[in-house]
Amino acid sequence: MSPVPLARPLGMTELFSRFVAEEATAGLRHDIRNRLTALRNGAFYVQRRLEKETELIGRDPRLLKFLTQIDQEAGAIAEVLGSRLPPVTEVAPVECGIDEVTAILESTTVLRAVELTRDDGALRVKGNAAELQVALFCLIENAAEAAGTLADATTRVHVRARDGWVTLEVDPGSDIDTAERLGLKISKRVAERWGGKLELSRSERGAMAALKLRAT
Amino acid sequence: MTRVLLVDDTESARGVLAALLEDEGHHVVEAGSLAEGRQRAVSGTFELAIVDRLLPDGDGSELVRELSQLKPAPVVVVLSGAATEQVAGAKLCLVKGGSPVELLEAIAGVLGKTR
Repeated sequence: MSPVPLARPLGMTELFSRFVAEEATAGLRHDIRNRLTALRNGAFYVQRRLEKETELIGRDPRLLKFLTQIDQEAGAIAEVLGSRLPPVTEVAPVECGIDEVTAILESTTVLRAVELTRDDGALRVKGNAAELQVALFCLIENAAEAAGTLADATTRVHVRARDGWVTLEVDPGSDIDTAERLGLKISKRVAERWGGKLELSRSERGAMAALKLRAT
Repeated sequence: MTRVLLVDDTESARGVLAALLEDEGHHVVEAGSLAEGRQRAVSGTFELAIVDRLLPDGDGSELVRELSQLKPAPVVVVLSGAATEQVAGAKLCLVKGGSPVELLEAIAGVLGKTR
C-alpha cells in the first residue's frame, strides 16, 4: 500500500501561503541581521584600532566619515528590518475548542491513515483555530513524508490535557526528519505566536512531535 | 579579564564580535554550533556567555538553560538574528544588527550587575 498523497484542504491554501511567506521573510531578516552585525561591529573595530594605534583618522577625516557612514547605513537597514509585519490573521478569536483544530483531520483531503484519540473534556486552547489547523496539518504532512512508503505506518494523534497545557501528540510511526523542514518551522512559529511550543522527542515507534498549546 | 563563551554559527559575525570583546580586554572562546558550545561550556569556567538562538544543530535556548545550571553559572546574553522574546536563564536578549556601542554597553552593564 502506498501512502496517499496529502492535499492541502481548500481554504487553507491562502493562510498556508502567508505562513510560508512569513517564514521566508523571517529567514531573510535573520540572515541580513547577521551580516549587518558583522558590518557594524567590523567598522567600529577598525575605527577603534585606527584611533588607538595610528594617527590616520586625524590626518584624513574621510576615514572616520566613511566608517560612520557604514554604521549609519547598516543601522538604517536594521531599523527597517525591525519594523513589525502585519499579523497573519488580522482578527482572530484568541481561543478555540481543540475539536475545531482536529476537525482538519476529518477533511476528505487528509486521507492518509490517521488515528485520533483524545482525553475527555471540553478542551479549549489559546489560539486561532485556522492557524492551529495549519500547524497540525504541517505536522501530519511531515509525518506522512517521514513515513514514506512504510505500508503499515499510521499516524497517531493524541490530544492530551495536563498541567495547563493541551498537547497534540503526532506520532508518525517512524522517525521525523527535523532538518530544515518548512512545515516544522511553521508549526513552531504558530505555536509560539500563541504562547505554546513545539517539542520533538523519541517515541516507541520512532519519533514524535508535540504541539503544546496553552489551555484556557 | 572576563572569560567569554561566544556561540554563533555565522563566522563573520562571531569573528568580529570576538575581536571587539578582546579589544575590551576579555578572553573569548568561540563555538560555531550548539554541540561545540556545549563542549566548550564544560571545558572551562566562564563569567559571560553570548549565545545565538538559531544554530544549525538546535535552539540556542537549550544551551542557555544548561549554562544557567552550571556552578558557577555564567551571565548569559542571547544575541539573535531573529526577533526574540525573553529566554529563560538569560539576563539579556538582544537582536543582532544593533549599534556596537550599545551592545558593548549592555554587556558591560550585565557584567557590572553581577560583579
